[in-house]
Amino acid sequence: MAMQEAAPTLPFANDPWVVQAAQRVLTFARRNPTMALGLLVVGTMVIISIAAPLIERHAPDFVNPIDRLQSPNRSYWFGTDQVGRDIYARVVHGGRISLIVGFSVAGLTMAFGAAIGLISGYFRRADTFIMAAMDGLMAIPMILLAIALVAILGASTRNVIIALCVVHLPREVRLVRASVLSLREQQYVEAARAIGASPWRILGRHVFPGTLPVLIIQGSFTCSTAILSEATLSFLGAGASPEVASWGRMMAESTTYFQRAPWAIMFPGIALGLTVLSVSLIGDGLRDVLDPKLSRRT
Amino acid sequence: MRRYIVRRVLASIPVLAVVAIITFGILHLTPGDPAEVIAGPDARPEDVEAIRTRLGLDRPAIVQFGNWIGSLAQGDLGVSAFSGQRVTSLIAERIGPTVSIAVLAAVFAISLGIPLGVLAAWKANTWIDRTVMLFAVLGLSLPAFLLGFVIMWILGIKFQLLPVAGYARLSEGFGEYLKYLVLPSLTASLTLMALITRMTRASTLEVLREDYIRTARAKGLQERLVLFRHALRNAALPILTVVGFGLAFLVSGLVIVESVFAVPGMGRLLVDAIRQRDYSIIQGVVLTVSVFYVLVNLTVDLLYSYVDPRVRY
Repeated sequence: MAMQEAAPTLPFANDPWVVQAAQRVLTFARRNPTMALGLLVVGTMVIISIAAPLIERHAPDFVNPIDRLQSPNRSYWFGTDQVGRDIYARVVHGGRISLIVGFSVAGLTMAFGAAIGLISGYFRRADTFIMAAMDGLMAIPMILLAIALVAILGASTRNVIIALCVVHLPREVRLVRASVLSLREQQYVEAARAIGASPWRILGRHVFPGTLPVLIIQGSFTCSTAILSEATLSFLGAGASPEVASWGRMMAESTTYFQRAPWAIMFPGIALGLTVLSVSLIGDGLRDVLDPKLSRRT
Repeated sequence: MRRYIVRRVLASIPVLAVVAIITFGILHLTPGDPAEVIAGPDARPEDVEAIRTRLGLDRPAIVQFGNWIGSLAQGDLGVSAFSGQRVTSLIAERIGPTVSIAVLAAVFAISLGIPLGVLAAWKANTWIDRTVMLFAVLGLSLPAFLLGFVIMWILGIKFQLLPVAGYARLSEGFGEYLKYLVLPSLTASLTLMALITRMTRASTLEVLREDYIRTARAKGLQERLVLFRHALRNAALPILTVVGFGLAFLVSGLVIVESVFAVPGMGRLLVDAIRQRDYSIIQGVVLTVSVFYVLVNLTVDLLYSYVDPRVRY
């Protein structure tokens, strides 16, 4: 509604393309309100993270012991931590790590999960080995494996991403494989085989598109658990390097002071919770849109 | 039935073998020389050499793996590089608190999650349902350590009901033992509880639409019996599945909770080992927990066919 009222004042408002686009957005938001909300929040988080240096009021690493443990006030919107760093600036910057880790892990597991899942589902011989490896990986509780991997590889954002990819990969592979197993029996796949298409062409052109819904839905859930796992790893001291502000590490550093300065743990916590929640809302929305069969289950 | 059990038990052996290979590989994935990593940056070359010989790192990987599996078969997980204590005895010391918290957390998650889910399904689309689901969503999107601090603050500091840190052995009296367990267990259970609540609601909601529920109500059966005998039993399978894979959340919850509440369990052992780069402890803990995890999942799988006689593989 607000959009329509504001419309006449904008120079491009009468452009039919803009009007149509705005209507589409509104219709989408009305049909999938929770998904639209999720997209809005995640979009905002992305913009905030990119614009962090522009909107910060103090440098995130600036240590100012005189101002330590201040409650939220006009100069420090979210208060300060035990060495006097501005929590607002650190929360704004910390989003970068969470989002980079979340999106990279989701993207990489989707790419590798699709490739491995397709091969595993289509080629019987590879299947046994791949599935044995995946079952073994799944048998080790996620966070333990991630901790161990980061401990061995060394603490850096890149290694956190690698570790989280390894622990999330088996689930993606299993789901893709399961849908390949049913897709490969479809008539159009048989038809492709009958006209002499190579296995790679069949997989790429005929089977792969069918696995996309599962892949994307699982990818969005991977993204939200990866963000949460990154925070947990940082909290346990197995995360990205200490110089980088990350929500998990901020909370870890504030634990000793949490009675005196609850804001130091609450603001990064709220930012984290909001992001994870929004990403899972997008995931739920994607599931409703892409896989109507599943939509009413949870 | 017996054949199914035997087959299922046998099927977990290769899984355990792969777990062993991965755990062994963890140390040998190290980009550098593991001996140097263990010795630390300030070590003299002869110290590094000594560690290399002591741990057998100078021998070919396959020989090392053979030796490692060999000692593993004898129940030997090696020695802590830091304190020189046997990893098995370190784990034995620390396993009590971890298992206690895990069991109590599972009890909390199941005994609160299932009734809440049934309630939400029964009162679907009312404010009761919405409130329950709101908490379930929060439980899934907030990190366990944050929830831990909130619970600690409310129950431990604001109302001073329970001790906020530490652990009491069973020998110090059951009441004392339980008092220290409640907060960590409750915290560790939240994610799993949220998951169980969600799944119970979804699965009960589906069952409540069935004809036999209408029949049960039509013949005048008490609503309680309809819900718990007719609906819940038929909705049990997906719930059980969630309990099975949700145990992974419990494990990650445990590691965090032991750090937050200063419980001397295996999670703390692991986190301390990471700080000290004590690889044999990391390997030992990961392996022990994974074996437990595989066994618990096996049990859940076997329970399937008990709960739902329609499932026979």
